[in-house]
Amino acid sequence: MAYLPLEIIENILLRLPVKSLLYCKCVCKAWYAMISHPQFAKAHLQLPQTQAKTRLCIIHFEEEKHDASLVVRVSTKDWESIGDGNGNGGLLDFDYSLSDANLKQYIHLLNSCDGLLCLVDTLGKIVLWNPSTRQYNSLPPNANAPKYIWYGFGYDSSADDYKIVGVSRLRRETVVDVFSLKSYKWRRIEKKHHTEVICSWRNTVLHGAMHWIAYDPNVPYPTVVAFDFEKEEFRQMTTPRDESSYILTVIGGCLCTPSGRDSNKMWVMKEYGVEASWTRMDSPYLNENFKCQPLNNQLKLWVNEEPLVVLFDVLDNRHRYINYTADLYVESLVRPYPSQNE
Amino acid sequence: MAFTKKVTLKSSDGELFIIDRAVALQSRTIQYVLEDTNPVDAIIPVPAVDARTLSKVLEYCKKHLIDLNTDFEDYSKWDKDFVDAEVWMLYDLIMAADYLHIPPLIDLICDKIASMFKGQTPDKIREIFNIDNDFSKEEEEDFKKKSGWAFK
Repeated sequence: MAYLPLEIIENILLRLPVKSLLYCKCVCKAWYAMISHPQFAKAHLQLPQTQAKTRLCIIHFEEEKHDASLVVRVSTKDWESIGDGNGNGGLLDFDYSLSDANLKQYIHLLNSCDGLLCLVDTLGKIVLWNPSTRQYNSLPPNANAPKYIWYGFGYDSSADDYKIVGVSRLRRETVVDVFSLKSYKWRRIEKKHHTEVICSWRNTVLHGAMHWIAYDPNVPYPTVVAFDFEKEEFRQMTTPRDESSYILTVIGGCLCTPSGRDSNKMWVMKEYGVEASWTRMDSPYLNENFKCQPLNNQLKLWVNEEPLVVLFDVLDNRHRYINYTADLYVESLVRPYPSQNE
Repeated sequence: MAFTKKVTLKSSDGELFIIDRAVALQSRTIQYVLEDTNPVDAIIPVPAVDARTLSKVLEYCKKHLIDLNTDFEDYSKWDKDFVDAEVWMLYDLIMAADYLHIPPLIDLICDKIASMFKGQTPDKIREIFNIDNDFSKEEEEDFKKKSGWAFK
């Protein structure tokens, strides 16, 4: 193998899942350098087979007896491997613990992005974490931060940077701070926004922007406000007027909100940013605020807006609620650190 | 323009292979040669590939030409058997497929080799693929500490 050109070795290694790559790194120095390179992580992430492979991460946390910090137990599963057979389909076979993350009280799991997950505890401590490589990083706190009511996590493709936004209300204005992983600093966005966020903890990332439903005092119905991670500016769109509920999700690459009037219907913004393209459609959802994916032809799984996993047995119409924080992610080598180099 | 129906390839060890032009065209390298020079009855040298490997590559090209008209399942079974080969043969094949630029064959062999890496320890991978371990003892210990969980 030593005499194969590096391009061919790269072509072979890119086809492997993250766990295999972690031990392939230890085969020889040339492989180590190749797999550790940020370009390799990027190429691996962008492959269709990586993007197509959804994984589910469930976390369970409880306080340690001798100290107030939480022990976070983690269960990660391949989409294909869950749901077979009995009970909870192996969802709660915990693989490992995040032992030194030092999170307290209660943990919120923000949306995932490129295989990274973002954990925020009640005191505002933020941990960026890659469940596939098990690397995690506690981010520095924002010294002059107000108490954020709401967070979002996303990617700025032009700067190749991961960013976290913290949103809060201060004197009738929405105040936004942005943390950039590359610069490793918090920064206040000077441009204020007059809307008031009314969305829940889970929020919606689409086309490089964070979306929430907000009240605009100048408009009699809720609006959609988006924060663009690249431009670091806001844009505003209408909702389907009085028909919308206060929930925003993404289905099939479109913004979507359940109908406030008819629980069997939802509104879909068929063309992003085009307000006239809001279309009323049948809702595939059992409950208005569920993200849903079929596990197999018998079981469906919902990941709720609030941290919750629901297994739904299609054959006998039973629901099994598993009350743990959960999210979907893709497997990646992306590092939760300021430098993508090792 | 008068196209010859047959093309003659010459392997690194001097063996001649007379094949249909359509078979040869699956190699982009040969396609470029034919487009550039359109050699009538000329011999195209393939200096990077020996006769044993070239015949195997041409076997693949012939099969895939015929199989365009037959059903998909046959084809993947045949592919699976085709790459069920010794490691050295896979090396030679991928080098040849790379030189001749036959993307589906490159994909097929890369997938095969990747599948051989899966679930193996670094030691085992070095053994199967004859790779020298150039890490120090200390570096190896460090890996075990950092990502030992992945080796289980």
